[in-house]
Amino acid sequence: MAVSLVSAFLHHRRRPYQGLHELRDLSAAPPLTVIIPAYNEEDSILETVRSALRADYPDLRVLVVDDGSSDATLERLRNEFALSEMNLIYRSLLATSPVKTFFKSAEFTNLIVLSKEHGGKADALNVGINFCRTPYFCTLDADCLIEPDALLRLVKPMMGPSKNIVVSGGTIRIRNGCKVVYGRVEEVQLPSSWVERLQVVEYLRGFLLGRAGWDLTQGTLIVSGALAVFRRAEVIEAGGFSNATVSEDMEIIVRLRCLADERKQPLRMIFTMDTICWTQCPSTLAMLARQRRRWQLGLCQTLWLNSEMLFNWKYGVAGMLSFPFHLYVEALGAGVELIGYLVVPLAFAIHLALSAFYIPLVILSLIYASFLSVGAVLIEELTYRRYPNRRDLYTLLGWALVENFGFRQIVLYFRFQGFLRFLSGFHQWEKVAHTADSLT
Amino acid sequence: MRIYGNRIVISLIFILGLSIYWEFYLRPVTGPLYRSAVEDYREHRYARSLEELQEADRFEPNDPSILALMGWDLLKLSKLPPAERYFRQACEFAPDNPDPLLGYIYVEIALEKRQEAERLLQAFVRKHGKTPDYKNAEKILREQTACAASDAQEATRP
Repeated sequence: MAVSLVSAFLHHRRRPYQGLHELRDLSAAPPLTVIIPAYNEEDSILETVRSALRADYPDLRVLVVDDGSSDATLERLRNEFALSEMNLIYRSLLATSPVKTFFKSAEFTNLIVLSKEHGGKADALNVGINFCRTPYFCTLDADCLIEPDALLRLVKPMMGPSKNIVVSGGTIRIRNGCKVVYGRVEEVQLPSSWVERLQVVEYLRGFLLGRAGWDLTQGTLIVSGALAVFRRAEVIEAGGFSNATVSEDMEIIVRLRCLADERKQPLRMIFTMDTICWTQCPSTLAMLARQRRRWQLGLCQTLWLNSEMLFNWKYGVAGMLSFPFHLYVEALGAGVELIGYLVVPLAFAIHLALSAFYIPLVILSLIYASFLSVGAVLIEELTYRRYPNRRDLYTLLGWALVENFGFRQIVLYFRFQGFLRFLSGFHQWEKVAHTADSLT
Repeated sequence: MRIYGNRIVISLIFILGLSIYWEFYLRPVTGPLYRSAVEDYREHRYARSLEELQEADRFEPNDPSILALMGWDLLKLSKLPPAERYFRQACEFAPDNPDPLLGYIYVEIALEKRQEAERLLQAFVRKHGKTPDYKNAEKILREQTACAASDAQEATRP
């Protein structure tokens, strides 16, 4: 938490001097393609594309890859953006499923839509990489909205003196409950249901504490694929996104680190705290279960596939600290904690455990976890203040206090299920469907 | 992917091995240090038993079994105030264990804190019933109380 606080403080202090306008006005920003993979996203795709098209970036192309949707995703895109079929040149640098049709917009010259056979998210992203001609590309999930200056903020550090930054990731916030007008979050509000509100706290903790801390130590192992800018050449050299796991965003980061080792050249992955992407979170426990099972499964698969990083000096902080943390705390910790919740009461029942130790220990650990959540909300309030309404802030603090008493255990159970699926060799992408109510 | 040579598998085997080593060789209560201290106590080598337990206490300072046995050693060596402290700590950590509570009662009797011993006896009988240990301790306390009353009577006699 201390490291994250330092990171947040430094980032916030540098914020006014970022020189985003120079990057935009002097056309120093490199051409960038936003790749939006979409599979059955008819409810959210239009807002996402509008959001990308409205982004404040001088040389921007938007590429939507329809991954063989069976719903009206493609029809809606065609109608909304006046798409017409075209024959475009496509080179398969990375192996993918076949591309069926290319569409170009008559209204927006920088918008291209590709329709392909269903092959999964990683496959859709690889199609986007094959098609894009820019040195950098940005992945954007089809249910996400970006803030106007998000792309400039992501690209800015990559244009700095450090030439080896290959990935720049941003902060993901929850848009459920927010007022969205033509692809932009106009009014930030908290969602109404407790499942969504608790996820707001979770996301704040995950991004403002976890990732900020790893960024400062240069141990970043996870960059959310919902919004991240990649240098295309390195991603192609690493073999593109992989379908071997269900968390292609984490897997590519780990593989890029392996590439850096092969090249004997340090490649950096950075995290930009104030780059905001608004995503939809699951609004029901059933959908949350799908999402968390998938995340846990993907984490376990990625760690297993790249086990040579564990305690390997060659990978620096990532190998010696970040990888072990993700393995023992994030992947295996779910099982350990859940078994703890089951074993401790049992130990009480058969008089094996000493109440003088265990009850205070359990209470202290939960209070400590609440302290982290409250800390994340306070960092948000002290720095970025995206929730301007005082009532929302107090509500968030309240949820941060109670999050660890019930919700944490529910999520833990879902994560444990994901871990069991990994052990059983399960390999399937569980799609999270969003209800219409969560789209305001 | 092969399991043999996988760093994750190796690290988990290493952690498992360390846990087993700790549980069966290092951990004071189940380990050789505690077993040897118990053996010494049975053979009336209280000072040696105490030394071994003090070593074990460095590893696990809050283990009630170690604290209780240290209390018994000190009681046998007639070092009553530290024995009282160890028994009290052991009772706090393991309030349901009759052994440290019994030791605590004996120390209080030896220190002639009869009211406290009486209170502890009542706590003992509530939790564990009238066991032979309880009856023995109660008998000693009653004898001491009677003796003290007799002494007081003797002292007031002109």
